[in-house]
Amino acid sequence: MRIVLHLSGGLRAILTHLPEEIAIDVEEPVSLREILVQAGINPLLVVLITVDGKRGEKDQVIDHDARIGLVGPMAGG
Amino acid sequence: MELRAVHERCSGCRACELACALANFREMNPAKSALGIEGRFPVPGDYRIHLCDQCGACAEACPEDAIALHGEAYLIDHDLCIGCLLCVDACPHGVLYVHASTETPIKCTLCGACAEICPRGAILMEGGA
Amino acid sequence: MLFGYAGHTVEINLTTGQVTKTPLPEDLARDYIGGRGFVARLLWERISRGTDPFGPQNLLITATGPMSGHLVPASGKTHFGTKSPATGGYADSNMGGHFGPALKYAGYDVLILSGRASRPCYLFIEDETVELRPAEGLWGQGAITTEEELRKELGDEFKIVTIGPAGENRVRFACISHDFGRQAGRTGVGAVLGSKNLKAIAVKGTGGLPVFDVDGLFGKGREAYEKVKAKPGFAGWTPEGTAGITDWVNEVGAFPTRNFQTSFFPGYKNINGRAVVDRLKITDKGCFCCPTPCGKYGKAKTTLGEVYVEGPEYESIAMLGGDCTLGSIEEVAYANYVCDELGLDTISAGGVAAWAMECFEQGILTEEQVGRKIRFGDLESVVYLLEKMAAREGIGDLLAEGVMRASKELGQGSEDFAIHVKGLEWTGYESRNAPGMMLAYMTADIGAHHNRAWALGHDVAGSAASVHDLISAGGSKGKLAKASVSGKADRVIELQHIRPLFDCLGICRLQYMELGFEVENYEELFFLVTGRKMSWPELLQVSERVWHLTRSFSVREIEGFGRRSDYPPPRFFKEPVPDGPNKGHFLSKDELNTLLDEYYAARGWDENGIPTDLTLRRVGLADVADALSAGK
Repeated sequence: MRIVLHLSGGLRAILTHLPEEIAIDVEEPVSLREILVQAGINPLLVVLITVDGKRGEKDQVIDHDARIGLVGPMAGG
Repeated sequence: MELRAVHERCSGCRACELACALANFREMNPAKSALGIEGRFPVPGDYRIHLCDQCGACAEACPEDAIALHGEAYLIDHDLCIGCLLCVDACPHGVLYVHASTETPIKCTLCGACAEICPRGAILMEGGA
Repeated sequence: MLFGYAGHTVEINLTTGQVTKTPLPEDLARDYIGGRGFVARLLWERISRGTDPFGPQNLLITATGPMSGHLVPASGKTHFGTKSPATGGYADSNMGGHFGPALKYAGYDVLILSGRASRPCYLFIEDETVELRPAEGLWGQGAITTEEELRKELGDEFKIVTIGPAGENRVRFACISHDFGRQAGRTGVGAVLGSKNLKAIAVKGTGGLPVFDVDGLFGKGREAYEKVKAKPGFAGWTPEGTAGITDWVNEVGAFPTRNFQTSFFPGYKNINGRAVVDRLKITDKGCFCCPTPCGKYGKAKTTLGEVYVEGPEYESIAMLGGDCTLGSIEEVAYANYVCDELGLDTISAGGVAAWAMECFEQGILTEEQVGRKIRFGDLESVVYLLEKMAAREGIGDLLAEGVMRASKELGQGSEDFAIHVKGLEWTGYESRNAPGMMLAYMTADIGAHHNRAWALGHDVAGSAASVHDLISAGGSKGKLAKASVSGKADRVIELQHIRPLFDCLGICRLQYMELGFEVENYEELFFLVTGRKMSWPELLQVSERVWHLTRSFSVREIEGFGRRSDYPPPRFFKEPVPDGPNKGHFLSKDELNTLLDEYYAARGWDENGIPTDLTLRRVGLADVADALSAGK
């Protein structure tokens, strides 16, 4: 499956070497946490994840083509 | 064309009221809007959107024939209006409004500014030629 | 002509009943913008040194910003300020909802309350009509119940703020309540209203606001909503609101747990944003003109009963959930409701309850003193304490003083775990491995508060940027390395100007903070509203001026104020975190002093944290510099 990660401005302000979008092809279903590590992103830096526009969780398993939004630690109230 | 309310999406922000007043009066004043947002708190804890559905009850009530159908909307002719406010009483939805700055009651013109601004998709402009 | 503003200040002397309206001073608007800026300047000028926070000389100031009430995202904010019953220094609190816009439409940018009414009353404002009305029948009622009653009597067009019994009884952390779920929560602003015998303020406004370029603003305002909606985080963030960061805060080991004994709560998934959405939520409830309604209004059922409540949002989850270890979202929501109806700040009340429960565990408070057994994780214990606090009954009279004063009186080591700075209880981010955030809490002007500089992301980014270290440390759920203590000051200072700027403008910061809505938009909208061309850096300079001003106010009002006022509780520099992702970490006194040294130097304050004469003059506060040198 093709999983496309979209990194927020806040995340890229920390991971300055990474692009705005990263595409990863995987054969088996995989957790978001593992996808992040594969992409070189420490899961601890991601405050909010969306999967195809809806709120997701890092331990959620992805078994289809998906667009993943990643928001970095620039938030909080 | 008609306006439809999706009440469960309303968050009570009232941007619609501001947009309405801006579109129809060029004023930053929600008291001059032609719709109303009602918060039902503490119970049941939601919002109701009070919109004009162009039912024409106001036109029927008007003794001066100052309210007439123009296209799909009933509009008030300011020159004919005598400010009797019978239309305000006749409105079944309570969406004709009185304001000190104008003798003519404020009524929805079906301009769609409310639907356009609503960030929640709670007011929709539907149909049309 | 002051575009954007309503144009007037209204002052009510509650002792005499006199109402005075004056034009809003142009230089005040020019130099302080509005909201928090107005509050800070007016408190400096009008409060005389040594004023008793509960006395008639104290002022309660309500100030909107130039952008409040206009068609710009989230323009519903209003700002309250006073001399703090909690700290004795500068106090302010920001509130959402619809009250600020109503005040502006009625014709007023600023509302000043002085004196003390001889009997309970409420303030009625309908455009030009400003009068005090009797409130004997309302006195004693809950904050929510009071608003409901006034709404029924006056109609929906009135926007209302109220206090509950906690405010009436001068609980030092009593809040001002509004719109069935919004509060000006912190620093005891509700207690000041209570001390003035003012139960509520009801405002209806039917006037419009002057706009520099009304057609331009209509166009750009509409565009702004489209831009916010197009932000990638828009659909993902809004449903859970701030509760949505609960998981992350636990993962990075910063979640207040058991009176800040530790920083990770194993049961966090039962009290997170997902739990709010799945088990409680009825409506996404928002403030005036907000596209991202962060309020989650819902219904919670517990063994103690069923309640309707707006919340819990992140801070209430942290302080009633983690800090008191209430284990289910329903219980957190119930405790949240109890605070809301009593008129208690959920943050301080949660912190005070947690302190009491730890005192009980350690035998420092006995069953006889408390009136019953209390324990962490028990909803009945928490509710019991909240009710006692609000009524100042039994143990509640001690607790109502806040943890700083209560622990001073109780002694026996309880001061070590009284979690506050300057007398204001700590909020939702445990910071023993977050030096930037620790510094932010130490130097926030009102006391321990996160809403000046939110530096936690910066701290985590520093320790977590390298995924290589993470993997080599053995996995994707890691322990965090000790964060660096150096290089924090500049970042904290930068952040300390940003959030408070929104408090001056009269709008909410969430679209900028959470969704990345760009500052250029605010520059443009500010110009269209006011006709003033100010760049974001120029606007931040006003915020910087206000920062030095609020510090100076506390210097003037609090005897011996300085570095000693900026330290966190001993728990944070003596006890390593016992478990979780930050196990073993803490910040020593030396490290705290390093943080403060760097901060004071970067701020242009002396070694004791007092703004220097040079700095005050540099930021346009020459009169403040003169007053401080003259010892006034």
